[in-house]
Amino acid sequence: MTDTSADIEVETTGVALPGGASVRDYIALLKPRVMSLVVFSGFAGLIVAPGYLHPLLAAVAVLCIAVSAGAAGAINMWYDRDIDAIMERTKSRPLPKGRISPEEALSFGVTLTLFSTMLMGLAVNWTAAILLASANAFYVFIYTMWLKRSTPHNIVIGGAAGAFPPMIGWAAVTGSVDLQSIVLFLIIFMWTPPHFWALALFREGDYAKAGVPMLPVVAGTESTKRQMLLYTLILVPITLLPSFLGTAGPLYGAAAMLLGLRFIYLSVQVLRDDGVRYAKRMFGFSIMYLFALFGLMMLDRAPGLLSLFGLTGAAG
Amino acid sequence: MADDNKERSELHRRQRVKNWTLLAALVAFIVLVYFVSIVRMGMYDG
Repeated sequence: MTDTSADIEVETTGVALPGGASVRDYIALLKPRVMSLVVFSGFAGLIVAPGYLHPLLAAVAVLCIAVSAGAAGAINMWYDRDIDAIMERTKSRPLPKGRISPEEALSFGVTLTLFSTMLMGLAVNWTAAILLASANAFYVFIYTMWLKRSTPHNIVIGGAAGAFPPMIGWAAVTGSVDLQSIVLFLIIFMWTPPHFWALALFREGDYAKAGVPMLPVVAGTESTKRQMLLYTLILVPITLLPSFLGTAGPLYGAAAMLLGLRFIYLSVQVLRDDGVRYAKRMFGFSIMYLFALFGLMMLDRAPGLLSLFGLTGAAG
Repeated sequence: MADDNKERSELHRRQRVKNWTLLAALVAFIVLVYFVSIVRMGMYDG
């Protein structure tokens, strides 16, 4: 692993002023784009969970989920700074560019992890705090340090880290882990492989160059496409379960079915496509798909909102 | 020489922004803890 801090250069126009990291660089360390999905799914978990949580404590819970996810991202960037410098997609990050030193990034991540976990425990409840710490530890130790560089199934198992937020949101309200919250976990868990493999299909060269054994690099594109379809076929029935368990209502169920059929259609097209056109399309759709699923789930739960349109949402 | 001054002032500017941001974050955290305490104490009032 190379230490990029040793290569920091002074540039007047550029970005690598020693000790001159801007606030924007620290925000970049938190992977804000990834954070948006984490926050949204965590918020959805809060909304659909049965029970009441004071709005301020709910806001604190969402803040803790966001900060903890960002902190895990910062520690991930600290550990992966060698391969980030090689990959096109990541080479402009603050660490490979030398704008932030590895030590700073690590201490920033660890500090935010401790703060967010303690705040969640003291302000909300300790079940949510333990889940938050587990998600963080899973992402850092299991995914980043172990699986990512050692197995093509890194995304399958590592995806669990990203699947925690709705379960944390749920636990913030109920103080427990229930079957319904495990289903929310499973939706993101099963969604992660086709989502990331779609990305890996058109970024294959990048991963190969960095020596990251993503499935298309190790097993080839055909095998990856077949597995994407398999995971999508398992995912779609799982997305319907919230309707049957009372977490969401029929509006969600019908929309999840339609969106799921579209997702299956795209993964079949990816399988038939020789290029990466449909992989790109599927990647884009997969992000919208997850936002739509959790958005609809919340809409189905929003008190009084559906009655405005003459519809009834989930019971309870 | 002019470049050195430019670099130094840019560094100072960035450092100043970082300091103010950190101060704002700390103050926000204290205010947050205060209001969370009020809410949590109110939860046991009946």
